Amino acid sequence: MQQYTETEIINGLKTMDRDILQYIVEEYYPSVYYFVRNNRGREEDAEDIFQDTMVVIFDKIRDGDFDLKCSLKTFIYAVSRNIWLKRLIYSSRRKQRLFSETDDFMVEECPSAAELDEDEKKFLFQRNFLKLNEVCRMILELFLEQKSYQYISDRFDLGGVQSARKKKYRCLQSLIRFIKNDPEYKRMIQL
Amino acid sequence: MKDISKQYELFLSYYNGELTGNERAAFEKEMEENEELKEAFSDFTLLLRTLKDKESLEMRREFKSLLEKRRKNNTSWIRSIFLNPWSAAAAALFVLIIAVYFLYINLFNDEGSQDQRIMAETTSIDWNHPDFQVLPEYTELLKIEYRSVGFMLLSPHDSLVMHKGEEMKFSWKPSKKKLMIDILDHQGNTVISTDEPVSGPYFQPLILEPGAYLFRIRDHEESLHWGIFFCVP
Repeated sequence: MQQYTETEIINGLKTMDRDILQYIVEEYYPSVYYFVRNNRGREEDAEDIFQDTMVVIFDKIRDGDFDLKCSLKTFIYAVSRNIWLKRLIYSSRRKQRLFSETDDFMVEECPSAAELDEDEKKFLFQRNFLKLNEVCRMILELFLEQKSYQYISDRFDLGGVQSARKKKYRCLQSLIRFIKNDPEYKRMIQL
Repeated sequence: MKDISKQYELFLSYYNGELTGNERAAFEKEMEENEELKEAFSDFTLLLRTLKDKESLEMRREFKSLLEKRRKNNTSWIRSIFLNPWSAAAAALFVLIIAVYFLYINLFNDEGSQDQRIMAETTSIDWNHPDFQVLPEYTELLKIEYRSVGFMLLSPHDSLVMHKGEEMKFSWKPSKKKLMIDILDHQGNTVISTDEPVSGPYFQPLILEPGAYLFRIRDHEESLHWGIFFCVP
């Protein structure tokens, strides 16, 4: 496999270069996988956490807010670890106590769990949006782009404005249902 | 976070400017008075902003597809073994041979010769060989495991492999809490014990024969943490 420098990887993330994304998965995902699996997580959790992490990094790069004070590998690992430990903390009071007792062992120069608070809801929404079928995703995207119902109807051959409106409503309902059934949402609601 | 599902049609109409002047005013007044509604609306607008951020969604979608592909590739060879009857039979035979081999060892090797074998194997290993050097990322993983439960064993080389005569440091939080430490050999015999509760950090010289050992941190009622380390000459 071809090797890339951290600068090349960061630039590749900006442009969503498929080869670079593949390289990131091969190079950085295993350590996140083993950490999550060793800390009561499933493979699906590890994949979710890795996606959340890459979204955090991508957003930071795009907003010009990406300040790398450690290696990229450590950074990715630290963000993933913080997201996962935070979920564990919320799911168990006992773990919260233990975690707070060991806070001083955290890697200080890398992102803290507190920084990730705001992103939690975003991860929840993104994750569930991607559970929708392709048509629903596109309809909601067009709706948010303020395209007319007539345009949406023509694009998907829905047979009129009313049908397009109903379809959008059903897609939004499905999204809300997915979100409500997400264990993370249930956890957030209880806070 | 508040429940966004109850009023999202109203939220959407407000967001899109589809409410009449009176409806809009009433909704804004209600939000001023109702913190829960205000928070739910704020979450709803975040949802819409998230869905509008196509780049970020695209990034997640790309990684999701790559990770799914990776998972399928990793499991497909295992699945292919069991889909093919000949390879399934070969795998079963292999497992059977391994099982019989280990049963044979357990049934016919007496305890004394097992001890000698384990001791001989441990002492004959070249622990300085590069294969046994603990990689930094795994050392880090090990520490995190310890951190997550509040107990730590610190060794001079920051690894699980320690030399005879070196000093191990056991620590836990809160350190004032008195606990007992036991070190057990591979047969489960306690070879070192503090006997009485001690406060942390606790230092223990490694006065053991080469081999693999378990350490246990406990109070009078239960074991709180287990770990493993290797003593080498």
